[in-house]
Amino acid sequence: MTAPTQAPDEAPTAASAPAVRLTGVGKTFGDTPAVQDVTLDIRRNEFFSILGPSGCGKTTLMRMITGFEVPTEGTVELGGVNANGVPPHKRDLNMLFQSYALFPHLNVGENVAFELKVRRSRPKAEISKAVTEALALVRLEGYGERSIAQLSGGQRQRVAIARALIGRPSLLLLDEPLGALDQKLRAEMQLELKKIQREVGVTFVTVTHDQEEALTMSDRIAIMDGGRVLQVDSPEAIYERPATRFVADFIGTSNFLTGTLGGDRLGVESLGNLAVPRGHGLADGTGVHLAIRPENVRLTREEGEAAAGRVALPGTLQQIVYLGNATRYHLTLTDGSDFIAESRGADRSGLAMGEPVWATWDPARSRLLDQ
Amino acid sequence: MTTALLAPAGLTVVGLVLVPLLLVVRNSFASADSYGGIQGGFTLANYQDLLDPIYLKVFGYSLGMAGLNTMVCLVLGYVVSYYLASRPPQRQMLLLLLIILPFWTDFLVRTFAWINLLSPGGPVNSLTDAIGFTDGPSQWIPSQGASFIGLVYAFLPTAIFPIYASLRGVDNSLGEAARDLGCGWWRVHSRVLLPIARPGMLAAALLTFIPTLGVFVIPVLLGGGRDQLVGNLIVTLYTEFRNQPMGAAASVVLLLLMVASMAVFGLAARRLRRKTA
Ligand SMILES: Nc1ncnc2c1ncn2[C@@H]1O[C@H](COP(=O)(O)OP(=O)(O)OP(=O)(O)O)[C@@H](O)[C@H]1O
Ligand SMILES: [Mg+2]
Repeated sequence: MTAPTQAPDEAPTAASAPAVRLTGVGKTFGDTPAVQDVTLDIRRNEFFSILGPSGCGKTTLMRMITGFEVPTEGTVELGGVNANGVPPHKRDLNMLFQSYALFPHLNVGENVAFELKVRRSRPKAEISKAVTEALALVRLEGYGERSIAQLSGGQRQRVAIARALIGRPSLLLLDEPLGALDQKLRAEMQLELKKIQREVGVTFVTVTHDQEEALTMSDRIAIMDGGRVLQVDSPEAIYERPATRFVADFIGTSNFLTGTLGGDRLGVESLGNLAVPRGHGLADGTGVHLAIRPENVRLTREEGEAAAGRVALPGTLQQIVYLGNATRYHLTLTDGSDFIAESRGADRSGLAMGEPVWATWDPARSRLLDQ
Repeated sequence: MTTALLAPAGLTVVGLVLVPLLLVVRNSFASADSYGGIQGGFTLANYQDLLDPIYLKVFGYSLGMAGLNTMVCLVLGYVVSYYLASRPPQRQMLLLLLIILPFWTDFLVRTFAWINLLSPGGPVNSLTDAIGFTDGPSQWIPSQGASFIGLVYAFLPTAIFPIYASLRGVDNSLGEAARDLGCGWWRVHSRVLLPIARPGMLAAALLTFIPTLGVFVIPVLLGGGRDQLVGNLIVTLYTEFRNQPMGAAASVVLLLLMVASMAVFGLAARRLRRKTA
């Protein structure tokens, strides 16, 4: 908590500065680039997620913020102050490790009190009060005397959260915080983490490769692939307005039709000229992808059944998959490519597998992507 | 039924351990004949003779040497174990093998190797000459220092194994978590890693301290036999002085010292367990 990065004389800049500012940050191990040219701001008190497939550099990026890895390029600023060269124990942030990293030789209370004891920032009596409060925050009242070995996975994680938050860091980084929990506990903890974050008013940065988790918890999400950040946006914006084909594919499911742009139409080989959303601002002749979400696709028996202005493509219904809350229809288009449509609830289409159908959608609900 | 099954083991223990032990205890109270043999009778004279300052010094010196050796082995053992445990897994196996390797060579041979290494003009001497630490052949053998090097050399692997065992399962992220929570490198060790290694350190201390008391080859070969450990004293009393009852008395005292130190270590272990449980 004694953070040289937030000395009082820096206050004027620090107050308005983002919690984290990365400028052209890169990290190369040997000659494998793990993170490349990342520039982004993490705002104060926001719940920020870094989302991407395995090996894309999420952990490495986070470890550069904590100081466990030194960037080979660019600068990391914390609260408006350059943190390059500041060791981890002098940064005003804490990390929640994926394995929780609880100290096995200390009991729950001692684990939680660890930071306050090490930093000697408060008198003894206050420490025990702070421990009680921290345990209450994660709903583990009365667990102080337990040994770590006696706790379940979910309880261990709560202890780790209490330990990380007791010193009120201005930033908490969580590396796949829910990775080790089962599905049900996960969903519970997602809401819980969000609630704790609101209560303590600390900036949370989580790393995950679970998109649902990121969408549920985050104020903003950074999508990473191959060491680069592709898009930083709110969950809705990421879902509704993905910036690249990768993002559209990684978040939720998308159908892609690839072709060449000409006016308000997209020329797709052997499928014809399809209407695209207006005002896309891309030049004629550009090679682009048209992304269509399955839930925006409706199936009809006849082309004429589709409302005016909708794009319609013929295909064959291959499979109907019941997902519980939705039904998914897998088709094959006339060029042999796969196409997916989805409707809420159980199947009420009356369509049979193997039947010829038309897939239709409103061009305004589709999206053009030039990369 | 179980008694019948246990009989062979019981007989072995009684025959090979208990009987010789009782004989030694019995002999320590016997008086010697003029050739140093056992004459029988009951006397405390042997123990009284051991109170002579010359012998007391040997006991004191042994305890000191054993303590110092234990301390040095614990420190080096911890450093080596920490290094080992933080290597990638395959590297750990290789390094461990290098530590075990010398065990497959006879101990006497290895001690003689040290005589060569430390001899005037030998490899160590050439090295210290090269870095300007010494100038020309130096007489390091026999000496107390050489004897101590021999002791550390002999017991270091024994100290490394239990410490390494207690550190190797430890998640790398524990050290990082400690740093994250405000520990510089010293406190990462003093507050987290050392406490975790403590059971291993205790075992290492036990395995170093007690056997050091009974060592007799190293002080003779590397120390020139001047500064003796209890082990040397016993050998000397039995062979050179031909005073078997007194040798037996010295053995009994050594045994009592070992039992006492085991009790101390045992108590420490019990306290440690109670604290972590
Ligand atoms: N210490 C290291 N030495 C060498 N290469 C490394 C090191 N750490 C990470 N890498 C490499 O950098 C790349 C990014 O790794 P990173 O751990 O950041 O990925 P990640 O997105 O966190 O993946 P996951 O979701 O599997 O945890 C990988 O190719 C990895 O092999
Ligand atoms: Mg990772």
